[in-house]
Amino acid sequence: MMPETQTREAPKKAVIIRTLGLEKSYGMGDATTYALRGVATTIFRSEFIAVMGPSGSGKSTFFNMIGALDAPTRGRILIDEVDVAQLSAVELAFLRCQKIGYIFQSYNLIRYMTALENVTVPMTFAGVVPEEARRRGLELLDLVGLKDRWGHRPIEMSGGQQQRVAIARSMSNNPKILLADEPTANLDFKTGQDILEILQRINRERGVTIVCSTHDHRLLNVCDRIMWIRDGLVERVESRENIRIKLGNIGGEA
Amino acid sequence: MKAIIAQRQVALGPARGIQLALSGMSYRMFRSAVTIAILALATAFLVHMLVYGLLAGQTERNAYTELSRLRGFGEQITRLARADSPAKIVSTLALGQPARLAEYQRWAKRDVGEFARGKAVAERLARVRESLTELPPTAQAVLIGDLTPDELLESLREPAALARFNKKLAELQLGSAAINQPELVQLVTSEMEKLQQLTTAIATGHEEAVRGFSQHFPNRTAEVVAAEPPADFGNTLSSLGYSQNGNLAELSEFARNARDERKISELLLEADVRSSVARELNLLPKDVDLPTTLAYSQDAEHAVWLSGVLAQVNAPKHLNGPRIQAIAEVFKHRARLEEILGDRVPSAEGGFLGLPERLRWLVLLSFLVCVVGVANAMLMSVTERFTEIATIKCLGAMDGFVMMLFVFEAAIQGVIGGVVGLVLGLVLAALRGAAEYGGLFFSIGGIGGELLLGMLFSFVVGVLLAALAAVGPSWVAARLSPMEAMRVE
Repeated sequence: MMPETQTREAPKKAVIIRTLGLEKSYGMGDATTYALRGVATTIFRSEFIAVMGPSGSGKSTFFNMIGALDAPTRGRILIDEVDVAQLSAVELAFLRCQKIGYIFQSYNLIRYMTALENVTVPMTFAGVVPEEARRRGLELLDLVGLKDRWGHRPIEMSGGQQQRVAIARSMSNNPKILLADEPTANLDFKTGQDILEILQRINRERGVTIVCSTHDHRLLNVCDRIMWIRDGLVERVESRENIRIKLGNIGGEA
Repeated sequence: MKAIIAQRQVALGPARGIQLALSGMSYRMFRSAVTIAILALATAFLVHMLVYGLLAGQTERNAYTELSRLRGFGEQITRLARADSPAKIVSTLALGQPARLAEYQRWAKRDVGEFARGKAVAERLARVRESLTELPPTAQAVLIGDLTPDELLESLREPAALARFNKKLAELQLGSAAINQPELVQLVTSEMEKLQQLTTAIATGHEEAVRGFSQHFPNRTAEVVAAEPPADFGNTLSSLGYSQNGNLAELSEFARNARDERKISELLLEADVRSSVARELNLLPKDVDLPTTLAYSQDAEHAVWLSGVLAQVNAPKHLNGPRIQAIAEVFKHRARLEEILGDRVPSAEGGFLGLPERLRWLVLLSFLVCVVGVANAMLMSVTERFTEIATIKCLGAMDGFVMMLFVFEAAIQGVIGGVVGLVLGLVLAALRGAAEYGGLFFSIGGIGGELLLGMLFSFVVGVLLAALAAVGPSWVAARLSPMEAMRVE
């Protein structure tokens, strides 16, 4: 088992996601290709961590693993001290519904539902009564600044607005973790900035752990730590403060 | 390690399921419309086959019953005027209608046992004749040659001919299934003799009865007597040994119509009548006949015109306009019945909903076509929603929820498609039936229950088909892990 990657000033913070020797391979025999080759990492409660790396580095695979969307070939994932591999279908659904919120690059809103309906879908699965779901849904839309557009369908909204609805949806059951897979990749500069600000606010005000994969350098301004993934391995993990100092040294590679 | 405390998800209630399915369908209106259309067509086809088949069978049976009744009247009148031929007597004995047999027994003046033996021989004769006509053509050529089966059987009564026949039969090696040789030999050596005696006795008795009838009602044909029956008509018939099946009023109505039709066709032979009818109908005089003339006289105005024409040549007084119209009506009805039936004898009810074998295959085949069409439509509608399925699975939906969503949607589409198809199929069946059988098609008395059952069957099949066809694809989709489903585009 690979040693855990620890940052230098790792405080005595509570761990929320821990992976141990995470491997994922596709194909069999000689044709086996590895997407992850043994990732060991620790993510702490209430931190905002950015995951960076070139395309094909295994970033998305890593995301799917820690989001319990896909099973690893080898290794373990502990989410809130629970081993994901040992969960039944019901418990997995519960985990996805209650503990983790997902934000996708392509929004993935349900096309035939209004903004409010989209936001309340996970509440339906959680068994929230409709009146309560409606109240909380409007509250969340207010949080992302779309309260007066609750009756609009995705097709009637801009990309930035759709992503804001997606953020509101991911927050609908007050999850402990938000997984955002390149949330700003499809958006222009200004809208992307808005999205990052909303994510930062959720992180600061509600203490939600946010794991965000990105190519967007602006994320460096809002995150606590940055993790680089390359060729299926964790290259390094740094705090933001250290990055600032090193930025000049690595010749703008960042 | 901490245990996760997961509470079971609330099940999707029917109301919420229908609401979700409806909102999904209204968004994908076009796709849903196509699926519903396929379902509707499938159901319509089934309904059409079942309803049309049932009604057509019923119509033919009704037509057969009515025609047999009418033909029975005709034969009854003929029997009053003329004795049956020996061939007719033998075939009637074999078929064995109870009323006819009773008449024959009275005329033959034989005791019950002897008569029954004669009848058994007639049945055997019919069987042997049938087996002779069903032989393969080569065997027929060798065994029968240019003769008819009756002539052959007659010739075999000579021992030499029978010996030759047996030799040829042995050479052919047809096997015992084709011809029952012992039965045939027994028949030609002794039994046909007895049958002939019985037949002759019956014929003699019948002739006596006919003579008695014409003596009792002198100078009138049987048809005329039956048309205006004297008070002692029924009693006379009984005393002469005739059976009275059907009531005499109907018999005399039939006789009146037959008499008047005959009268009109006789009058049409008159040159004056023929030429004026030809002028009116714009025909050549040689083409004027009873059917065309009566078809022309179906409405009151033309019937009055025809009665006027007939009156010029001393037609009977009662052939006035309304009477001619009534005759034309009856004539048309009977022509229609004969046209429907052709030479067929409708098959008896049996099997699934009384459908004939050929139709049952068609229904099965159409059913298979429906299954393929609907399964394809459902497969399409599930695969194009893989991303949506993956998304709601990410949001915490259970496999069961995803499946329920699709099965609900499919069931709703099935119900709508089923109703539309039901109406469509009924309209199609009605139109086709009306074109083929006219008003007679809609006599649904007696098979109303089966019709309802057929319609219910088609509807249920439509709905079940849709729901079942959705189960497979959505089962696959629901069990995919969310990321796999999202990768499928």
